[in-house]
Amino acid sequence: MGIKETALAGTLESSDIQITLSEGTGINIDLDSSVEALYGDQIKKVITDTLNKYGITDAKVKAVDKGALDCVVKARTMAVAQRALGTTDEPNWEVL
Amino acid sequence: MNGFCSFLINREFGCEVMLKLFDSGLTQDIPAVLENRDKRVFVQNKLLSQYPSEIVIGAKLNTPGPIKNNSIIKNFFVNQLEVFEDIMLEEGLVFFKNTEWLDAATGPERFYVVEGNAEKVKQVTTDFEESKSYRRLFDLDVLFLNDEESVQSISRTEIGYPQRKCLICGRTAKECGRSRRHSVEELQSKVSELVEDSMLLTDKKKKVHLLVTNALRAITYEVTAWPKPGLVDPVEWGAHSDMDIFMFLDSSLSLQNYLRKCAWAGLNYQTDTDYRDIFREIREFGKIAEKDMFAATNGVNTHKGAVFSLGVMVTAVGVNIKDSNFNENIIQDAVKKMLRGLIETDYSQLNGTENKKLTAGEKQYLKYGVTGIRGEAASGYPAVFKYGLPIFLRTKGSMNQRLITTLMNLALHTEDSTLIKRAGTVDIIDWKNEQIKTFFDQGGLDTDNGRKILNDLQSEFSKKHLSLGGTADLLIVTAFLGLTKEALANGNNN
Repeated sequence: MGIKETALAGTLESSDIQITLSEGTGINIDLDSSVEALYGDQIKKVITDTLNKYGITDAKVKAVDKGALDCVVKARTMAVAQRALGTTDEPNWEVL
Repeated sequence: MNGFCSFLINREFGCEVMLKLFDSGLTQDIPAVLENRDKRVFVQNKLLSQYPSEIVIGAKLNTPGPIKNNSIIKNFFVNQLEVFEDIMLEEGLVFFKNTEWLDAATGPERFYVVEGNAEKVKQVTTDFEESKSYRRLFDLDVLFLNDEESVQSISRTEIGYPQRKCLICGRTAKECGRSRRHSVEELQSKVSELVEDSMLLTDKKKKVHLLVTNALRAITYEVTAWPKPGLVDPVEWGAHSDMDIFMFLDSSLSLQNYLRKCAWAGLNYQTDTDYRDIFREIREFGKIAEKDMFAATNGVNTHKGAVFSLGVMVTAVGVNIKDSNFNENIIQDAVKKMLRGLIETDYSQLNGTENKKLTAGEKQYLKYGVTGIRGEAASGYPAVFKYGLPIFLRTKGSMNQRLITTLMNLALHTEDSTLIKRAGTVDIIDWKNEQIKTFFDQGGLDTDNGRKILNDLQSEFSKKHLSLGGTADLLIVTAFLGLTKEALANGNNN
């Protein structure tokens, strides 16, 4: 399954990862990480596994990692997947 | 009384109580932390769009584990940022606080908008983070709008500083964080230790503030009380025509720095500290304080005795309340120990000193064997502890009534060297005592007659040019003890 619209989740704060999903064919991950050599494969695996759980098999993924732990990578991927599938709205901090 | 005070009280009983920093607070899960992070980024972006040419500092704590806020954590955050604001002021930065969420379960946070360039601001924030072990728990992000108008943060390495180090080992924090090298328990225990260190210092600073405030209250209350025979008050000061209340207030304020140093000297007492060394320490502070006083009064001696006595007493109370509750016996004991040998060493050097260089007290010691304020001080201010303080604490009515009643009682039990000096004879003491007894026999300040006697006595002191300057110093010391004791009892220690 592909995605409906481009979506973004996460920040560029340290220990976080910012993930952008847009239309594509197959899961294609462009990862930018300061720990890429050590953890690049692991981060990509977590992203792919999580997207698959949402049934997403076709998407272009841009990920900018600032040292996120696996649990953070997973949480941010879940958020971006839900937004791309239109199942949740962007939170509106102005009203929170 | 807040959470961390009760923790400190436990230490008074000598048992080492490990700070239970992570015993209370709401547990935070990853989605909550991430949601808060999104909110933080939103606020930072909003601030920079509002103030596009300024710098934004986002201040938060790095708190490992699921508990990220409680009253201790919040106090630590707020107290340390107060120091950070002082540092920004000293660094010449123009800043204002914009947004904060101190009670958020995800941890306290605060945002500042700062004028200046990002490198300079990052240098100030990094220096702060590295200035004390416990300030390493702070994470101060520095953000600005770059040429493409997007929000950019500046890192330590960009200004030539090394990367943040791990709390436990020497590796970089990123490395240990990603690999989860240290357990949450280990990290929490380290954080507790650091926060505890900072709280001991914060607690001391509060006590310094308490001591200085009450010392200044005492010294300004003394001159304000009326009527006082042989002393300056707002209404009559014939006995000291070269002074007035304003000069006394100027003189009092000039002692602020000195009193602060005395408070620190007392609060820094350790069980193995030689009390006489503490006295030697504050005596040097006192020499500077006397100069400050003379500068404030254009050379008039308003508070020379008070510099000595109040300084000693502030120090002694500092020693006392460092680890325990206010206790007159501990304070008096500390005074005696600080001043042990004072009379012998000071007065033994007098013979042969040129007469005009001697103080009133020193001349009288040689002439009458009266030891004056030094004698009173070295024996632990018996008049203050036996008469002054109990009377001050139990006297009802206005502050003026309490002060005047205490003053007259102190006068009754004091060999005032200023009085002897002005009268030129030690016989003046008996006359003074008769007058004061009459005042009290007639009902003191509570009766018209008593008040009339006191007014008349003030006129007579003025006419005869007599002074109760030494007793005034004892009133200051007494009021300081009484006000401090009451402030502590009211839990008003800030």
